[in-house]
Amino acid sequence: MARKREFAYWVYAREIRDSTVLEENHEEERSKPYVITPLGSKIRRVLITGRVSQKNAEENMTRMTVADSSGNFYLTAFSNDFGSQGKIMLDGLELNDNVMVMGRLSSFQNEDKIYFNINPEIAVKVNDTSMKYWNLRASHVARRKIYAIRAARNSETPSKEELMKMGYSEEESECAVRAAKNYPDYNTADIEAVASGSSAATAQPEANSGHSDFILDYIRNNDEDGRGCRYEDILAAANNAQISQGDVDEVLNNLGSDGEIFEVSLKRYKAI
Amino acid sequence: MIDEDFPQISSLEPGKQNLGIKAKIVSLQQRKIKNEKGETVYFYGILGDRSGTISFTAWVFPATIQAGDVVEIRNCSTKEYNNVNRVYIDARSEVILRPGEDLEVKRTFKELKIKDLTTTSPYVSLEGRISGVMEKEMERNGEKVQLFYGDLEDDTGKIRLTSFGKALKEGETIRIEGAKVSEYNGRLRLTINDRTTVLPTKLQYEITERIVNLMDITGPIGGVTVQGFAVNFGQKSGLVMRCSECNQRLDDLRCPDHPDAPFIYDLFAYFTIDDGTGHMQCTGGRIPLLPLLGIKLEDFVPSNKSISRRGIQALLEEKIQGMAFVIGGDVVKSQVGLSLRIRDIRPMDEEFLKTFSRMLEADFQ
Repeated sequence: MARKREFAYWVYAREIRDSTVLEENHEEERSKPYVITPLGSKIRRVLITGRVSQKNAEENMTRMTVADSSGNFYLTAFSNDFGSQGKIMLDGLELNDNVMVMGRLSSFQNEDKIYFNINPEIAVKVNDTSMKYWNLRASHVARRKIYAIRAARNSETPSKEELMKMGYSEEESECAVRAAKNYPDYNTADIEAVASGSSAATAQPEANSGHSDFILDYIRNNDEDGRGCRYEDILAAANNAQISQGDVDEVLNNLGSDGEIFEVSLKRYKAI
Repeated sequence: MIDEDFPQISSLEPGKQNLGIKAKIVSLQQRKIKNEKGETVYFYGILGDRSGTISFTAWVFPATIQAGDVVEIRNCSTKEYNNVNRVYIDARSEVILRPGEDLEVKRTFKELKIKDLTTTSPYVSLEGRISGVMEKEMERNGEKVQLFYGDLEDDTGKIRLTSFGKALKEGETIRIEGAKVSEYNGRLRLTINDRTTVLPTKLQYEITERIVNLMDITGPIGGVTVQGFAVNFGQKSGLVMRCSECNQRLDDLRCPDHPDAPFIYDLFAYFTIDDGTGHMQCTGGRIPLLPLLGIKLEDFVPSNKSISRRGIQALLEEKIQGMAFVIGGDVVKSQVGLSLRIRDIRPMDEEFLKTFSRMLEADFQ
């Protein structure tokens, strides 16, 4: 029977770095364990982009560090039967190249710490536009997962079905339940800041600082039920103050990136 | 027993047991499935009476009964599945043919968008814009009829449309009630017949590029735009020779049916596209791929000595593997699942990113 292709997750380096949970695969002997990330992704393969910041090529092995906006990915390829193609591809890349890498995630446990390494299957030089594209999608995926996690944490008995009813996809819902179980106290603010930053940088907003105070004050003073301010209410108040929807969205993005506010659930904002 | 002794189909509610109904078999299909007990065949289709129609699933079904027959069904049950109420026929049920009887069926049509069409709800109402209209004359039941065919598109997808007798006009926006959805060669198509109503209408939306996430594609659909990184470039991609007479793919340089006809060049490439939400295999030929390789169609001829199998394969791999693309095409169903037939492919560009960014941000507003 044909095996289903392993999904390649588009994740930030920070999400992998902060992972502390491994899940053995009992169905496949000798297979690598899944990495359960703080956003609940169950990963064995990743697709990442970044800039080559370090390269060390030897005859039998090439090591490389690729940096994205949140941290570093560590790549290793050997010149054995399985990795030789990966090594050839890494050897063809230079320092400061923008690259796309798809590869298998390996983990090494040393005392209390787990270290992660990517064994590349594909590693190619890409242009800025491709990097922006990756950032847009990775940011969107991360932000939606973070909102789903918040919803799961707010529920006494979070379930996939409950989250799907709220509009999250099956994958997002499963990840949120997994994250709530394995990382109940993980602070998602840093990853969210990276994700919001990526999205905002790609969208090239010109922040309208004159409106920030108005919107921040509104959110501070109008969280009446403690569940956060509704986007529709913010928008209505902003419209009354002659602030356009586009400006509201930019300001909300920037306030999120600056750590002034956070989204407690989809379309609900709280001041920090 | 008179008809009034049977409940009307429109009155059937989910969760009922030991029902007796009389209905016409509007459609009947069967499917093989494999499970731990081995291979099983089950039947499914649509039952109808003068009050409406309902889908059914049967684990046993008499081989002699066909679509169009009127039957009495004893000890069946109803249950909701995927938000649709269905009749279930199992080993305890009896399906009895009522020979010589006919039953008027009130067709009920589901109002759907093109992306939601499936053969499990074959009678539908929908609206859209007609394009690519062609017509030809053909004989049907000994009579000459005018056959019109083209595409119908809305804001979610595109589907092949065939009309027997009713004229299709290029660019017209129409509302169709009672068209039939069927599947042919892995693609869905829509048929307009005598009982279908076609009315001009004004669409309440604009038809633009239909950008979709791979995870949202659940069945065959035409005219969609996907994006992603090309991974897993197929090693059998490359230069293909075809007979200039019949277009058959040649393993040898000579066509078995037209040995004197010269061969022409074509391309075939396949790879997996990954957009972060899912992945799908894509296949394409020379029309969409040659611009990507920077080769003009007029230069892509056997007399051009700079073209070689090895060179073309290396060039395809270099231009495709690992790159981000925007791809327009049709999703078709094959034995290995869904795949995308490429109509056009272009490297990711800033203009597309603006649209894509707006699309993703709209999710949070």
